[in-house]
Amino acid sequence: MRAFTIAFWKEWTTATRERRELLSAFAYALAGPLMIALLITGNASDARQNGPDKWTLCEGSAAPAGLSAWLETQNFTRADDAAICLAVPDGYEAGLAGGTTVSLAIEADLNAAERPARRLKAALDSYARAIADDRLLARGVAPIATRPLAVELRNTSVVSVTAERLVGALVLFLICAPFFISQSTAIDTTAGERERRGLEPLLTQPVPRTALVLAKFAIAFVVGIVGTALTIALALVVIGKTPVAELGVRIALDMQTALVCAAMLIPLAAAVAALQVAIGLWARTFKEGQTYALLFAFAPVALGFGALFGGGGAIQPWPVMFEIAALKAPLLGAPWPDLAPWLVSAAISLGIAALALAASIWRLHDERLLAET
Amino acid sequence: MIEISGFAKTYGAVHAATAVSLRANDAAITTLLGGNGSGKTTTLRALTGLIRPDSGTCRIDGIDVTANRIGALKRLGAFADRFGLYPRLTAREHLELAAALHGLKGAGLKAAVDRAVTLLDMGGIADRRTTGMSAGQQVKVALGRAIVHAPPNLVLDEPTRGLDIFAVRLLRDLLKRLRSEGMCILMTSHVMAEVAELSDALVLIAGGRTIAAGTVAEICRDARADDLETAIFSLSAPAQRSLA
Repeated sequence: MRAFTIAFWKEWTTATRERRELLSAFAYALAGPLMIALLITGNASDARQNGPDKWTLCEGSAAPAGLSAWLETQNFTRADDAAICLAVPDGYEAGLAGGTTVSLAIEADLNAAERPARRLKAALDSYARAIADDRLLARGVAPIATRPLAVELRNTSVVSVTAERLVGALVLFLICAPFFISQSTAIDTTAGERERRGLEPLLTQPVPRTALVLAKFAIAFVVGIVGTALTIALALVVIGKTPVAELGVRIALDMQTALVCAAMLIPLAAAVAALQVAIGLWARTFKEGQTYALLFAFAPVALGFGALFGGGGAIQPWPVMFEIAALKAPLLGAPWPDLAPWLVSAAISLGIAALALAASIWRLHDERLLAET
Repeated sequence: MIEISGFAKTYGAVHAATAVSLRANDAAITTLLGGNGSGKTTTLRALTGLIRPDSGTCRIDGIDVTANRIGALKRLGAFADRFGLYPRLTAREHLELAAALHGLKGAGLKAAVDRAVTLLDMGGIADRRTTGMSAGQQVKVALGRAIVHAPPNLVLDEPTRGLDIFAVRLLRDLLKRLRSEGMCILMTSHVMAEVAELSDALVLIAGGRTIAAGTVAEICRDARADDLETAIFSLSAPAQRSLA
């Protein structure tokens, strides 16, 4: 224990004196919440635009009698600078009068004007239904006869789709925190130290190599978990300052949520720090180690996108997969989930950490470690 | 006392050491001599527990390094050819770290560090970080780290390499003083003048094995040479030729 404490003191002193390393570690905690805030503010700004949408006729289109008046009633206004235009064929009036089908087209850049374009289509569909009803009545048929079923889609979810997606993005961002925050420290204390020839004098000291590995792991873990807690706290504070409520999203932003999220990420942060230490001990230089660690950091990003866009399903106990599913509950204000899945997931993460540390201890006994320098 | 007996180490097809044996006594400076690639550094690495011998034993005060690495290293100070200093720690912190890892604490640790700082005339640099230090200053820190816990045995791998005359003089005086205090010192060097002045005993290695051992006079006599350099050249030549 004493050897570990001394070795940890050395790692702590070294790590905390390297400002560039710490800044790069904590840049994630500082910059990430700002990105989330910008995302929320941008979405809220889009949603806030509730004035009449503009439309115009495409070049060469016929002027549709009655249609303009209908669209005015649906909160559309005709303007030459509109981002969406309606293509109306020459035979529009004749087609309607003859009881045939007339094809219209809405032309718009859906990247920039998807919402008003879809609203215009819905308004035109509604107009078409009104004309169809008139045609049926003229033929002595009650329009209701053509609608034997009235189907209504009712949302039973207590959480809106927007909230689900926003929280999903937030969860992914929080899970990535330990991967990016402890990376620099873990690689510097292993590959960096080896590159600076500092590992050899340490290995000639009369201390168990287990203590040296544990000290290196401990500093990476401390930096990782402190940085992750800071990321969570800053993210919740910054989100609290954004117009997130305007999106119909309610995210729990209190201290309890922050603590629950941090607690859930502790086992993952331990596994990540241990794996990064192992990666660093197999790399010959700091640069090489950082490259491997960066590739490793893409794992949660890939898994996270898979989980976000791959739909729901049962909670998986595997590291990252578990946190992706489980972190949503406290953020959405749902009750604390069952402890059992968390315990299973924590045991798996800590098992991975133990294996990675065992590999690192073995590596410190490997003569090739110094021969390869 | 340091004893190495029948030490052999192979890396793949490379025989780094085939039969190295030596004995370095207390209160004496023993110098390990040999050309580049002769097996000197490999031998010292085995002695400091960094590698395991394929065969043979390395003992420090009778303790087998392979069987009881920690027990053996407690009785040893090591000075590597690459200093391996930590750029963000001060010189004093290097000494404190080494002393603490050797079990010193509290007032005993502070006294040991102060003693090493005084012994190496490090007062002016003790509280400076080692980044940006000159080669001579780095040698002082690395030496301080090796002797802060007052080990009975000290190994040094080419300690004067890259040093100016002031640092060499300081190192020489220090080694003489430590010898007079009863320390067993085993070092490697390529500087013949330094070897001749400091060494009580020489061990000559070539082609991974010990080819001669004795005092400077004995080595010269055995080689029928007038000076040490000629003697070493003459004794090492057959082994060097077989390597070529």
